[in-house]
Amino acid sequence: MNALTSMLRITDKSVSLSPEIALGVYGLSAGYGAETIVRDASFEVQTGERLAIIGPNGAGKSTLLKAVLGLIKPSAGSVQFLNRGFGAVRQHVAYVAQADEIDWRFPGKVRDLVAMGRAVHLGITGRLTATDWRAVDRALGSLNIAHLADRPLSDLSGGQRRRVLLARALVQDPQVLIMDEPFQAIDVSTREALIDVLDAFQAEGKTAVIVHHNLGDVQALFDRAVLIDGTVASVGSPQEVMASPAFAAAFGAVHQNAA
Amino acid sequence: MDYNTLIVLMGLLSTGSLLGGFGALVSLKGENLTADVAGHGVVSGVVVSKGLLAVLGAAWLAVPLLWVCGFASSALTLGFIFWARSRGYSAGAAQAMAIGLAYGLTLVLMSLVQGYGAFSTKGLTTLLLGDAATLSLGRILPAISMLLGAGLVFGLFWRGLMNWVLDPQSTQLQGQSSALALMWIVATVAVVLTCLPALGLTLLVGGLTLPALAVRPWVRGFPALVIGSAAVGGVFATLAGWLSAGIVPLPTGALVIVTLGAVWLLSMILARGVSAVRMRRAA
Repeated sequence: MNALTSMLRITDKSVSLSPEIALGVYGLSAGYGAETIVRDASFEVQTGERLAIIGPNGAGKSTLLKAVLGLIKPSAGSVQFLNRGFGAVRQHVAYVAQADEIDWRFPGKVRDLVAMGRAVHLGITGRLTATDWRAVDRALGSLNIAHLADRPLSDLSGGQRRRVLLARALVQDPQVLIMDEPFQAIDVSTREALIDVLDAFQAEGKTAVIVHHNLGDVQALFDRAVLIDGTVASVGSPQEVMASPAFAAAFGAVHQNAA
Repeated sequence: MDYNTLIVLMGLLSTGSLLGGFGALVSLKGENLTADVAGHGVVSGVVVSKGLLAVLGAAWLAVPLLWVCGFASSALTLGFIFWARSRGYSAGAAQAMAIGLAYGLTLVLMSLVQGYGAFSTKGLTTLLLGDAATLSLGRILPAISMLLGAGLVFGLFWRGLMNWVLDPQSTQLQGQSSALALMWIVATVAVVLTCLPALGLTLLVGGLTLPALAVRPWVRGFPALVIGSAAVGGVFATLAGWLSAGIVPLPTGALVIVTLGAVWLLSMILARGVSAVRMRRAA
């Protein structure tokens, strides 16, 4: 039944959009080919939380996200969004991949890419209505990039690309936002724009799970953190995670003292 | 213009347009060798169909067997690419493996059935090199039907198709990826099978890639690229066919690819010139 509803893109209308647990990851193991990169990862994210996933390079943070979303098949474990399997609530979950996962030379405009976020709400032809286009314009406006709407994708800077990808996720009107290193290599104004949007998103009681690499601002930006180092090494408030022995083992004592 | 020439030109117009438009999608997906893979897959299916025909001896089964075996073997070969990519292989590596395996399998199959009963390799040369000059109405109707069907499908679903080509991962999250991947395999095999009689396997890749490469510098939108590539493919394939029919005594298929190659070269030189002029004006 799950496979059928998934294939037909039927979203379970009975799903509650405000359960206590927005995301539950239980005993998840995943990797590429025969190599397991994340083992037996378990944690829960409360509704309305902003959670950071941190860890050293190669620890499996992006792999974990992809497995959580079903982009790579987990070898073990389960994942629940809003108390349902992903297939039943895909309409309510948006993903912002790393910017280099898109071919920015593609012959399209910014408006076209942002409009992709509406696809999950549309019929088989993917034809957008006036309401959908208004949502696209709102999302572009919220990230201060309305003036880029008709610009070719190939003309965007790194920071503009991040804003466009976040706009695409927002236009989906999700309850849970999953982001992979959105703050990497961006200018100050883009960083502030992203934080403003995330603050507004959280103020609506929505949940964000973000892979974050800058340990210096985890405490300022996030409610809780999960430390990944091949598995879930520590979970708690940013202070608790950074004071944990697992954090010192993953990053070394220098980082721990600095944080 | 006599009837036969008209049929050949109509065949080249539909084949060139179909290859050009589909080729734009293929090149955007970074899978330029996909048609080559599908073509190699078809050849092994053709050998199987001829082997079966030699065993069964029912001549009326020749065409249905050819289509069924060619379609099945080509789809399996493309399916192998999807499987290999799901195991982490790059597009290039997966395509290279598929071509190698299909080619090897074809040779093994030919060795097995060679000399068996009434088995004959007749027709395989046409499959490899094409034979546009001998196109008949019956042989061009599939390409014309495919072109009309593809135009209709593109008109209705171009945005969904664009989303899938631009960001397949996002489409996967939206739950549409499996259906589109299946449709992609079927469409690739159908395009290859309908275009093989005119251009043959060895020239097919040129017909797919050159129109899109020629059009790319001049358009900024996805529909414009696909429609422009179809137009360039159709118009210049027809022009090459017309030249081949009376002015330049060269094989039609080869002249089509050489003409498309010249169009691409001219387009590239012009695009660089225009870009240089713009930069100079901006400075």
